[in-house]
Amino acid sequence: MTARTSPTHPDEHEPITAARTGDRQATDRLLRDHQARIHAVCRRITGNDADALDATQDAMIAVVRGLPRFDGRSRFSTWVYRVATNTCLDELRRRRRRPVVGLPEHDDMGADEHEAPIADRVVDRMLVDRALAGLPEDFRAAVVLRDLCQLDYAEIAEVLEIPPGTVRSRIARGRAHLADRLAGNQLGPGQRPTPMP
Amino acid sequence: MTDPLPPLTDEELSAVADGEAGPEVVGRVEADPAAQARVDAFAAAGTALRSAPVIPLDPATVDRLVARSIEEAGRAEPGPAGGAGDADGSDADSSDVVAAPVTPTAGRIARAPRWLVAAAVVALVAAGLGLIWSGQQGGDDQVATTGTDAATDAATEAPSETSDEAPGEDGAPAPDDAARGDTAGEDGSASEAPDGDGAGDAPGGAPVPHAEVPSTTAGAGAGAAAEITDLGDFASPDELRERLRTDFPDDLPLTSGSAPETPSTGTVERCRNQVQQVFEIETMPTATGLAIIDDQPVLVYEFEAPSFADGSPTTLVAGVGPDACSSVLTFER
Repeated sequence: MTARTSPTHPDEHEPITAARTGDRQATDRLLRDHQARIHAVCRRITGNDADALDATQDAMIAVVRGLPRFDGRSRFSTWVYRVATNTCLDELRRRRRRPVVGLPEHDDMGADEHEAPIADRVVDRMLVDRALAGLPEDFRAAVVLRDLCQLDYAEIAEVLEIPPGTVRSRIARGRAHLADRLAGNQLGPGQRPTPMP
Repeated sequence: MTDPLPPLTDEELSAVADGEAGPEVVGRVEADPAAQARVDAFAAAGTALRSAPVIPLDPATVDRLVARSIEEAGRAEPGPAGGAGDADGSDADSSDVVAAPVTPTAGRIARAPRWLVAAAVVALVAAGLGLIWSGQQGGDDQVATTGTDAATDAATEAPSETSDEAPGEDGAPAPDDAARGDTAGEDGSASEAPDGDGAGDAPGGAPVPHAEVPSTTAGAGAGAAAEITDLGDFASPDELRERLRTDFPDDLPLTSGSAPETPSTGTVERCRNQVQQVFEIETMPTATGLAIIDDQPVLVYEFEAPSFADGSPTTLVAGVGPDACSSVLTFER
């Protein structure tokens, strides 16, 4: 899930050009090539499977509709992330927040001697979902674009249409929240690392 | 004596973790174990985010999303093309973006004759009115009117899908795709079809008539009502859990398609896929049933799967709501 290709990577140039002219097969191919990253971003930003699926659909429609406007100045994947992120943020702002679709009843599974504990992988997924759900949407988007999509600060600034300094700030604040929630770290502002005397 | 340096901020430490900090800050972190620990914590948070898997969409869902994306985008109103100076995709998610018409590269898309389209519209309206009548006898006129409007919206949306798809090209019948957007979620939350313009919304959140129980999420299968074990009514998930603790009853009748809470075959399959993906189960369920917990339907699946605890053979029982396949109960026996 990384954007490692240079702007308008040669391998993408032909299908993008074809898709922009209305070539259905090329459009189909582009969507299939990028649906996983779109869905992953949507899943992490929206926080639940149902909203993620709807947002993924909306984002894919927006990608197809916006193809004529993609001029290749940025990586196609970066542009796709932008569309997906904006779609998700719009989705979150449009709807009232829903409970996270996860496995809430597993919280009390340990109380029953007949029930086995769930796999660590499932627990990790739940923890990440809940930690992300505690972030404001704008911070969540910045952290997801950095840590999941591995875009650099400049690309994230382009995706979110904010200055790089703001990117840096949102990522830091979002990541601090995540680190504290995931690691149980209770460090507060008064316990920041200080330089050696 | 030099003034002490201000403490490193989380912003600087986070930038170090991302390789976006200057050499001076990096040097300070390397000299400060506490700062390095904080950087490591930030890096670990990023690793956790990357490591926690996002369950990929199943191929059928991808096919459906792609097909609908191309179809929906092709219905965009023609207008002036985007200017050369536009930022990359800056308006890609706005509703007035011009889309190049998506033309098939081979062959022609078969179109249904107009009489068939008209017949489908009439049938949808009639079905909607019939359901309202049967479910709302003596009810509120406003509800009936709302339901009629919603059915009309659904019917209006249906012909586009019917006419743009060759017979048999898409296994999901168009009317249910259209009606999906009008269904209120089982948890009472309003829902919208992923069509971008909210055309399928039922005003006021009033119940929308539908022959089956389509999901608000994209990918809900249509089709006949599922015939699965009718587990009966329960007051709570714990009560259901207690009933299924030792075995899955095999002497109960199957669900009746006439009951409004009976999910469709497609819904049963969709939620089954979801459970299989979450728990990484490759086998099919050994039993499937429908329970009603506090007047809410719950699909129950039983799988033979390795135990999460020690990998030994066990039986996993999972109950999910049919609307969003959200978990209601899960345990091993």
